[in-house]
Amino acid sequence: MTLRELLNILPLENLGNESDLDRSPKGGYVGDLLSNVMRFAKEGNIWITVQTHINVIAVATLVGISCIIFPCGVKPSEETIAKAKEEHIALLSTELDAFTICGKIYELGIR
Amino acid sequence: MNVAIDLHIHTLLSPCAGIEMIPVNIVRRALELGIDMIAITDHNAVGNASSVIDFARKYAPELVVLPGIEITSREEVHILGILPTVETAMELESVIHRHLVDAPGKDYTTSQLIVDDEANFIRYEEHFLLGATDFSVEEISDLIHSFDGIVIPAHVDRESFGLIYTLGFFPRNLNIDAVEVSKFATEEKIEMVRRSLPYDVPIISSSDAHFLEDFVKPRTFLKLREKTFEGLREAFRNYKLSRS
Repeated sequence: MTLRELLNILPLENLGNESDLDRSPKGGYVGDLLSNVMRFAKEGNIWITVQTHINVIAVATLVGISCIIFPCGVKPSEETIAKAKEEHIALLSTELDAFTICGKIYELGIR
Repeated sequence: MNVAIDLHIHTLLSPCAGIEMIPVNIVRRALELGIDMIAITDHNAVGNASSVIDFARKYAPELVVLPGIEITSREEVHILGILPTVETAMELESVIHRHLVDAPGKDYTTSQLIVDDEANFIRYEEHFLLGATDFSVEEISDLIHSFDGIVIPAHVDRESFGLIYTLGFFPRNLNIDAVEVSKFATEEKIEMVRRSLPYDVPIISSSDAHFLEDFVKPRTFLKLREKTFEGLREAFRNYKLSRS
């Protein structure tokens, strides 16, 4: 399932490049402590986090994260969005909380 | 002169600190341990700094007490600001209080006590001090500097509220004057911090005392021209100059 398909089914908003939505994520990780995410997230993961510091893009690039989802209506700064576009990390946002969006994504078969 | 510093001390204003953290006890303990200079750094507040400063001026003028604050960034990183005067510290606090995220429906005020220099109760602090501000670490650093303060990320070696664990690594364009490691940091840990620092700043160690028993013998000694805020700032600046 591609990110574009996820976007069509779930209440998600695209904040990043349109062209970065055609990849298919493999599994996911949830975490707000970036040191923990660097250790445990895997390449191709969707990453759900409320952390919006620009360092999240560097961590995503390092790990090979395909997409970051900000839950609870959290929106990153323009600086973070610009860096994500530059690094081709897909960025999505949702009003749902982290637990709920994880459950819905899991239910759709991304695990 | 060689000055023993501990720039991270809480009072009973911090909700997680002990009720015994009143001016007389803090000053007495600092003197017992041979500390020459302390900073009062409660969470997101400065309400008790002047009481400790006044007490020391009256009864222990050999101990320098600086006004400070431990600010929580929106990333949940703790940053110390050490200010030149009580007035600038209070101006900074008023900005911080406008940007603190509230905890609706929770009663926390009775654990946040403001007292005078003789430890008489004055009032409860009404802002939720354990909350985070909506400022990024960079914004906090700029804010403290705009009040002529000294910026020190707190206990960067710690897993909770330490910069390295929270943000993964030091952001390149963060403007700081020193970094603090906790009293639990081993030599190896301090070396790890040193290697991960992209800027040339001194590493200091503090007790982060929340209770009297948390105080430790000072681990950081600085050569200061004078035992004042200006002397401290000069020492941090000269550290950069001497190595560039």
